[in-house]
Amino acid sequence: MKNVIKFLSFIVYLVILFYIKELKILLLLVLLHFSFIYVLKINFRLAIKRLAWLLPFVIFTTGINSIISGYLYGIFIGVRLLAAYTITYIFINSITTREMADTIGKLLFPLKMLQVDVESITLIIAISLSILPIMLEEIKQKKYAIESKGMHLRWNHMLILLKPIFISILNRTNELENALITKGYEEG
Amino acid sequence: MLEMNHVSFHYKDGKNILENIDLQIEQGEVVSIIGNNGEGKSTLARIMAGILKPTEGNVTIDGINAYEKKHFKSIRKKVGIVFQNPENQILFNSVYDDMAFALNNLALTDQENRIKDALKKVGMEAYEKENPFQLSLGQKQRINIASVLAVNPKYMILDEPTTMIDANGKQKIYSIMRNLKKEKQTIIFVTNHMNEILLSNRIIILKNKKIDHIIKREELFEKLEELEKLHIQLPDMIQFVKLLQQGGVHINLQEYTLEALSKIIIGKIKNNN
Repeated sequence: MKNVIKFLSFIVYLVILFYIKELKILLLLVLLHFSFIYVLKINFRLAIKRLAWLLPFVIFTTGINSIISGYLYGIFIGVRLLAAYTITYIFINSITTREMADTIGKLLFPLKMLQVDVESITLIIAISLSILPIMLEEIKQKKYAIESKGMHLRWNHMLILLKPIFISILNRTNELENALITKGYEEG
Repeated sequence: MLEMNHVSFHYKDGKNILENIDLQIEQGEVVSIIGNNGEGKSTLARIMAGILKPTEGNVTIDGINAYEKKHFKSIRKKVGIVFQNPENQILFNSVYDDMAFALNNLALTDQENRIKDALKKVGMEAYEKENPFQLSLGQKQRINIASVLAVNPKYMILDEPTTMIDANGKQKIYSIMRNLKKEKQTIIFVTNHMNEILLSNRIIILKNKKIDHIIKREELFEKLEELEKLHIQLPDMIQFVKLLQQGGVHINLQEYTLEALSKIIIGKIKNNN
């Protein structure tokens, strides 16, 4: 129940963020969020590193809005995105993927009345969230393997990457099925 | 007892992997399965664990059919398996959640203590809250072993548990296996590393899709020629003792450990002096 409240509070807070009209309040919130990240000993360096990945999107959005509605409005949108990013970062570091999946499962509880297998959906979400970073790493390894065989991958060569990735996903799915069986999971 | 009766397995394209395997494994035994690549060792391990159904024959575990749906949970409580690739068995990005998943599915109580005890057995008690995906391969494999131990199955199957592990990690896993052996845990392990067969009481040799030989560990010296005919590379210790014996130094090795061997050699050197 605690995680359901946490998740709903996070969603409500995110929605509120998009209704705030004052730039000063948003700037204060961004500073506050970064302080929370530091004080709660959440990986601050990783937060900055991940922000660097997001920065091109933030800059692009700021730029487009600056052109359309003026530079102040553009900055306002950019800061709003930063506020949303920082609170999301705090939230995802305060909950495990399993807890997140269980929370979504609890919220989907009414679907049980429509005979929907909510437990299986919860499990799929939990495993997908856990496995996703590993799959991304595997894609990177396949790319290195192809490049080590003398092919420099460009956008028009990406189809070559698809086949080994697809095979890897199928193999992984097969092994996941075996792992679920060995851990006593029974469908239905 | 884990029993396999006339078990055969072939893929849908007709490729035969195993033919007419008959095998009984008693509780408390430590059995190793060896053979060249492609002989069906992993397939045999998965059939024993009840996760791969044979095309012919049956597997019973303590008299229960391993493939009947109504016995699914009973079988899963009785037999656990650790795969060769440590990554393939980890489902969640928390060690605790990953270990608790099986305990929840099998409705096993006292989860926290089971997890703590199992992690202690494998020396990973400090990693309870860690993300298993971020651990080394050796640590991941120890977590997988702990996940199986938390369920406390009667039969534990290890499919080449040290293949992807570095030398240090291997030693840690051997230590875990020796401790489990002392606790009379039934262990069936598939291996390509001949030195590992010295951990077992019985050695099953697969060749040409069948069980070619079953050798008791104490019979190893008597069967040396047969093993060589099968192109089975002998464990380093056995090779060393064989060379000593060929050089006229008689060694009566009861325990297959470096400590026991060195005691005998030191004794002989001191006697000669």
